[in-house]
Amino acid sequence: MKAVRRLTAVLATFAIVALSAGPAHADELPTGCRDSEGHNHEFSGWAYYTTDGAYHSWYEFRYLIWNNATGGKSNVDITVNENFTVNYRYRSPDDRKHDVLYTLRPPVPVTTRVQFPEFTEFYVVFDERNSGDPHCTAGTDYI
Amino acid sequence: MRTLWRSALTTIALVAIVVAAGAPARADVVSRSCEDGSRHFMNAWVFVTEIGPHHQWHRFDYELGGINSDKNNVDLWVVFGQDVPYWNKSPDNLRAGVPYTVIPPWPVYTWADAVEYTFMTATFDVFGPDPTCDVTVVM
Repeated sequence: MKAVRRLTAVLATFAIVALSAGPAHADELPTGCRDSEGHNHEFSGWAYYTTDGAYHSWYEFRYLIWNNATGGKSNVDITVNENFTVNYRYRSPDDRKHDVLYTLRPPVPVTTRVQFPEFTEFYVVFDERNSGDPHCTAGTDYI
Repeated sequence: MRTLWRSALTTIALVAIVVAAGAPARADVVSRSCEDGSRHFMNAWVFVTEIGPHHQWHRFDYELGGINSDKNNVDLWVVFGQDVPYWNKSPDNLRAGVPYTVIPPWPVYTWADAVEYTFMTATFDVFGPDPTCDVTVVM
């Protein structure tokens, strides 16, 4: 009798585990860079993704231009890369201001396959009042 | 005792159902992007479900970028061997930054025993010849 009860409990536990198998969990990849000409403009970017089986889903990107003030017309390009090909592109308007945290959510999460190197890259052009516009590129770690 | 055995058997049946239902259909969305030589681009998402030996293509999303005009278009074809079980041509009024969705009005299947893919091409309306870029999602 006790054995039957134990068997029932074990099987019930197995059923619950099977039903809830494979939950997606979210991760953040931070990155950053400094302008190429020493004007002390800085950039920080964050990419957010979930892992679901053989895929990563990139669902949000945030970025911030900070430190020395810009002219207020900077721009940021974002690419999500899988195996060194681009699976998603974004180009901001030429109106990005410093000290403002911007958030981008693609209309559908961008998928990449975990079997390949995957990363997000930010290319930033800082609007500089007194000279040509410096730029920098920031890539997240590969996942 | 009989009740306990019945309970155990019911649990076994439940476990069998859960395990059996664990892997029949797998829905995926595949992302791709392309760009012409002038920084006009298209992002595309293809929703395809693996059902045993075949795939069902049930949704296509796309957005354009890097273009100011509002007379762009996107065409797509689902190809299976020599057949085209589904195709769609958008109107010539697509704009950048707007997500568009195409859902076939009937189930579109391809089988793994022949080449199966979706081909999407974006045409960007500019002054002069219109540039294009395309993506292919191969299963």
